Amino acid sequence: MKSFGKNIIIALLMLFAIYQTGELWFESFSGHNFFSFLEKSEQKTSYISYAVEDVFVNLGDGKIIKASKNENVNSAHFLLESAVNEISKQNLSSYTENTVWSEVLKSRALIFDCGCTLKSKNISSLLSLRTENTAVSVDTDRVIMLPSEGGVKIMFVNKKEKSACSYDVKEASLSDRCLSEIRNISAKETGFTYLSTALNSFTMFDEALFIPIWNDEMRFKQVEGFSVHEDFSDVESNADIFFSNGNNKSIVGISDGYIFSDEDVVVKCASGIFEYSNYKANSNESNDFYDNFLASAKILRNDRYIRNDTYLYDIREDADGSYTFYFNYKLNGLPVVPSSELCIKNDIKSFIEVKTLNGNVTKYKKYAYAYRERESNEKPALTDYISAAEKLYNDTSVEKIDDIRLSYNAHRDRFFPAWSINTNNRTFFVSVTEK
Amino acid sequence: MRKLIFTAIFFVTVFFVSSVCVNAEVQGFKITSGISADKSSEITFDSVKVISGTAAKGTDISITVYEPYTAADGSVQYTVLRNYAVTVGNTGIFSQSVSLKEGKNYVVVVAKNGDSSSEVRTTINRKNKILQTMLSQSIALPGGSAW
Repeated sequence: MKSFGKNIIIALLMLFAIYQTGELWFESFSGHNFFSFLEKSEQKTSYISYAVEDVFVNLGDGKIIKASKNENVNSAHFLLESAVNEISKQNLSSYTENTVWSEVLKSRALIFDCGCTLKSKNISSLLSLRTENTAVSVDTDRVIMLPSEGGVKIMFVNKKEKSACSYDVKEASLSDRCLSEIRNISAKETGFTYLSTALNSFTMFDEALFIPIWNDEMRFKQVEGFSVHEDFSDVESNADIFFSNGNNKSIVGISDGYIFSDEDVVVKCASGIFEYSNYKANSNESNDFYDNFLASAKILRNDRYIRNDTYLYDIREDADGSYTFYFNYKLNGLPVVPSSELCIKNDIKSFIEVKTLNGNVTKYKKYAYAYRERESNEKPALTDYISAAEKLYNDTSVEKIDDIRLSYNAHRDRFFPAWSINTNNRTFFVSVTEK
Repeated sequence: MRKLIFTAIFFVTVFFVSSVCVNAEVQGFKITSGISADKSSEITFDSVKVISGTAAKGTDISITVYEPYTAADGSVQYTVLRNYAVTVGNTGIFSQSVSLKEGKNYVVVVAKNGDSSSEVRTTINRKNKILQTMLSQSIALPGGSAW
């Protein structure tokens, strides 16, 4: 009996070895290892996090907080994943409705804000809501989970159009998990409280905004940028991630950096810009949004020289079917955005750009810097959102503020946070630590 | 002496009655978050409340936090804990973080603009954080959904 069990195990291992050999033989070698099949099963959950910028928790009593601790953010993403799976499993039909924020925000909710608007077909693909019945019908930049007795309502919202594609998921355990998640995050988070412009009827702001508020003792630490490549070994090690066999690559020194290449791949690292191009044609793969987004997210996950969290800032779709995903860094849950000077100087739109086609990364460009807080230098917060808006009112002819958020504008090596205010497609930065 | 006291009481009464009659409500004054203008008392676990609202430009907002206590004669008296003052600017919005002590805090928000004046009073009972942790493990927080 013992030997029979052993034989079964040996037979299974042999089958698995044959399967993996086949995989390696017919597919690209990069990224394959013994555990790669395990990674596939966890991909969908973890990669959703690259599409969501912020997770807010509405406590239903006018108080909104943001999940900033990784454990809270991840468990919220996992819950969203479970809820979306239920839509597929129950083959639920959606219905469209108008979003009345003052009504929606009366109830406890988990709110997932995307850094950019995802087209309805793209978010349907990303969340595997592929049937005509289940597909998301609105371009989405916010997803809301509203727990209730016996289930959860999931709303895919377009903030600008104030419309939502909603599903009623009848699953009591999901509702319990959602309420438990809200309580859990509420108990563990100690960061800012957020104010809803809709609940406060602040008509000078767009009504879908959540604005951070703080007490008089609030202080902010200075942030500094630093190169992630200390020396040549770092540059080479970063480049090796992109070669199937790093030993076969050639290295050429140029005036301000290095070029690494083999017959398919070129990696250039010069003046703080790290650029990878893959010239190998892979036209037989699917060009589904999901596969392309996964490819971009996977490269971010594999690049261990990205020291900060990232969020999806924008997406471009070209006529040839290629996608370009733009990512920016995050620090302490706040976005770090490159200043216009930094963008012009380095010919970048965001800190990271990933171009994909047929589920393969064809180009990857990143500003090879990271950002961290300096312990030694901090300043009191002197300008709250009202003072920032007042400054704008006094200096310009602003009528309505479309967006206001706390962020880091990386305009020099060291900086403090600023209010990033968007009005009429123009962005203004107002320092938080100056009057 | 009695005539003098009655005269004094009469003039004081006339003064207060006339001030109530003359003072109109401050235009657009409304507290939108931090405290509820509809409730005479509320409970919180937060040590700081950010009181926000709207009012016409130039309105002076003063927020005073009092600690109520019972005097020896049994009457309720108030000690001033903190005072805050803000003036509403171009945006027509005000916001002020207010520190609360554990126990009862009597909060009075006064808005003044020229001859107009408005007032909101409430008692905020700040409970211990440990109690919140205990409660959150056993019961649901307020704000139920009803879709």
